[in-house]
Amino acid sequence: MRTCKRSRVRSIWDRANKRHLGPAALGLAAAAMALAGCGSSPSGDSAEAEPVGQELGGSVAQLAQCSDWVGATPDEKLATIEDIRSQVNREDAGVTASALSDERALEVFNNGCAEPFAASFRLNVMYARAAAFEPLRQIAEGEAPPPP
Amino acid sequence: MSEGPRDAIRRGRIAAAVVIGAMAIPAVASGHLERPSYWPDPAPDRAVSPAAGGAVPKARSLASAVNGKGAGNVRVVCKRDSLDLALKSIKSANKRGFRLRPSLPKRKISDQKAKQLRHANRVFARECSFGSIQKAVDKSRNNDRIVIMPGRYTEPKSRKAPVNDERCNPSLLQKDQSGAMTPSYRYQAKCSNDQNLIYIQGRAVKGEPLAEPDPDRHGIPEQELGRCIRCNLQIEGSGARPEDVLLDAGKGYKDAQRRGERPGSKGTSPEDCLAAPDGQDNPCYAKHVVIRGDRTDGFVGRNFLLRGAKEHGYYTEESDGVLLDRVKFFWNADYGHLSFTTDHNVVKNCDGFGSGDAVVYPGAAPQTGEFRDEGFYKKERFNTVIKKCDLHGSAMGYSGSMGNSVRVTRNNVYGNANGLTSDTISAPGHPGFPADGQKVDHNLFYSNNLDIYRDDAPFVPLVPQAIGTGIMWPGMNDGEFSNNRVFDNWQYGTLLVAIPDAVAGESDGNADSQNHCPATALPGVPAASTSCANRYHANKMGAVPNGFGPHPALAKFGNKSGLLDDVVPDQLPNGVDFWWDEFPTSNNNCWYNNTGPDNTRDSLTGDPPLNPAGANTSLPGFLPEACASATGSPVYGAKGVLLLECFAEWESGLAPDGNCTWYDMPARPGTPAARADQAEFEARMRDLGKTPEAKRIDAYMQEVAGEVNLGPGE
Repeated sequence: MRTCKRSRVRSIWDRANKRHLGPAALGLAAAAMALAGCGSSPSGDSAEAEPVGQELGGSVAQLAQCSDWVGATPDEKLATIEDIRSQVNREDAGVTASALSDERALEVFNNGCAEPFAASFRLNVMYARAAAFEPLRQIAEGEAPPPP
Repeated sequence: MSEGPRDAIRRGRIAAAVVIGAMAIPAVASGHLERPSYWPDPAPDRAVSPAAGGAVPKARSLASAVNGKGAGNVRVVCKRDSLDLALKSIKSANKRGFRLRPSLPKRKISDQKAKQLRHANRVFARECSFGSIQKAVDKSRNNDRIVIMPGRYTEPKSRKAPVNDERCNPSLLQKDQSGAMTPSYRYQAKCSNDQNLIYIQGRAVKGEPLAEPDPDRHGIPEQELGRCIRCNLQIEGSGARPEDVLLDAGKGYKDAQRRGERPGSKGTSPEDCLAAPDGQDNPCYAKHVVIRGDRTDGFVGRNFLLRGAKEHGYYTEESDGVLLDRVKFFWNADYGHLSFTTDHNVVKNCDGFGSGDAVVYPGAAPQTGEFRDEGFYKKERFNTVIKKCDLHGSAMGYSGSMGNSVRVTRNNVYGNANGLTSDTISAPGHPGFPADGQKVDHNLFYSNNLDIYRDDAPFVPLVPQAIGTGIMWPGMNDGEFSNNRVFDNWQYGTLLVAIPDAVAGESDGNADSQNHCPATALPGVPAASTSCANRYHANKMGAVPNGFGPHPALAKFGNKSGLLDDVVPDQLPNGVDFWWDEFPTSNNNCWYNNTGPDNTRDSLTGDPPLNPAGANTSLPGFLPEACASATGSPVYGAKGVLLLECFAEWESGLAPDGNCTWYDMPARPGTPAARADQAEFEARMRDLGKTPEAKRIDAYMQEVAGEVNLGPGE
């Protein structure tokens, strides 16, 4: 799966920010981004953006929660996704794992964090649960490669 | 040609295996992030005498701390009024008695025991030379022990230590291969109170961590494994009750002396408590962890209360040999207890509530089960036991990612949103993929109906959980759930689901070399790896044990319980006794010899339902009862979509509020509201089965199955 770091076109960002974004729209968004080669960030300066949430021991991944997410700028959100992805999708453990793309993580966090009871949900937990079911989601959405 | 049931089963199995292979993407996850962590050598370390680790340590008696017999020095920690508090508590325990756990009756200590305790505390008061537990720990060496006299210990010096201390951050952060930064062992040793109120460094810092972590997690790498410096350490309270000795990382209490008080209760909401930045001005939390024990082989902790951590009450990592006895965990915002990559590990006679995740969490437990590395673990055994605890008043009573070969027995689990979860939603960073070999037996799971998502929730729920659930296994293999009493859980008694993943590449120590799910013969296709060979048997569902009734803490935080009826009923059904997702490759799961509310098989409830043909058979579309022939179902689409929604916050758009009911307070089973909810849910499931998403899942599997050459004899 392709992932882009801290870089997205605004139109895709805006669409992914909307709840209930349809599968087709998401697919188009993903395709558009792929074609765009993971271009510029929403503000164009995402390299400067810091992830949101409380940092502990060099990372926000352990403590970042929905209440941090909802107040973040687009660039901060992408930086947060990158931090969480680097902690959850480790490459040092002999088992690899599916990584959520930026747009998929945006959808998960935007959808999940919109729930009124989710203000303190840990983003790393939401990410991990969604990633665990990502292969199935791709089949359900018609995004999976054809069967062998 | 028509297709018989056997063909259908076989097709389902093969199809799903291929689907998973096509996914070719393995497990992920986590509830807990840590440095690259290794299972300690399970052999005793004989460089210390007596040897450290190799077995669950035995607690030394309090009396032996008085007479000084045995190995090691005794250090006593006290407050000015400790002796008065001790004598008062002993008198109360002798005259009026106390409950060690809320579900137990009050018991008095004997006159003889009271006399011994009074004498011991008088001696300790004379010998007390420490006001700080951390100072006593720092002075201690192998085999030493620390006695803490009654009082509330806030450790002012530790509280002043900065979080993310510049002496260690970033210079002692450890980078993994992905570039993720985590505090190293040396970080914790040097900046010991950065995160922790009390830090116990079990072994010396020897060398640098491996530049690239070893994917084989059997054994802490030699280059960083220092000698024992505080192995076989014992820390215990000298009071009559665990609550007499309070180790407190919280602040902002209305009344700090009340043991059940929440940090920040003086006027800060739970949400604001958690959102406030770390540091001196935080209104609720002084530290993230109350006690952290790192590589503390042979550690014993006994008879105290850990309260008010922003994350965890007790936290141990890479330790061989840990016993916690009569320890309580109140109001620790994440986990009350967290053990990680820890062996020979026992927690017993515990009690906890107020955790936004779980009261106890044995995560990344060593792979000591059927598919262990027999060169490293000679015998198959349980490496961790949680027993005789009250786990309540939290999002979960118990949770554990990759909780291999953990036994959970004789506990009372009640008043949570979900009583127990043990999952395979953590591969990277959680050694031991996939989770297997858990045994849950002789427990009571009841009235787990705490609505933690309501507006005035008593604590902050950090994780999504299904309200009204006894136990949930997302991705467990070879689990045994037996001889439990499960009743009055309004949504699910038990729930078993597969995590749709697979092991990619070679397993090399972190992942098991084999697993209990069926291998596929298709070249290049990895085996499906979760939710196989689980056995549920000899459980009594929906029936209240004779003489069982309400007890303190049952209704804590507004928890709903049928036990609170004017007359306790004989039967308190679960929403559904056994819910199973029927994932196609989930083979050899079985439910047998269980009974329902009227103590017969007929009164059990299941989704899928029990088969009408009678016990001891496995038929497609029904709950399997014969283990060897049990298979998943080829028709998984509707449940698959539902689980996507529940686990991944992914909405199908079919219903305005979604189809997942996990986060809604369920109605009490047997009521008209519950029947209406059930009817609506069944209708939604039928509709879900017709959605494009569900059809794609089913079609994908069918298409794959059609292309599979089953070979001669198939």
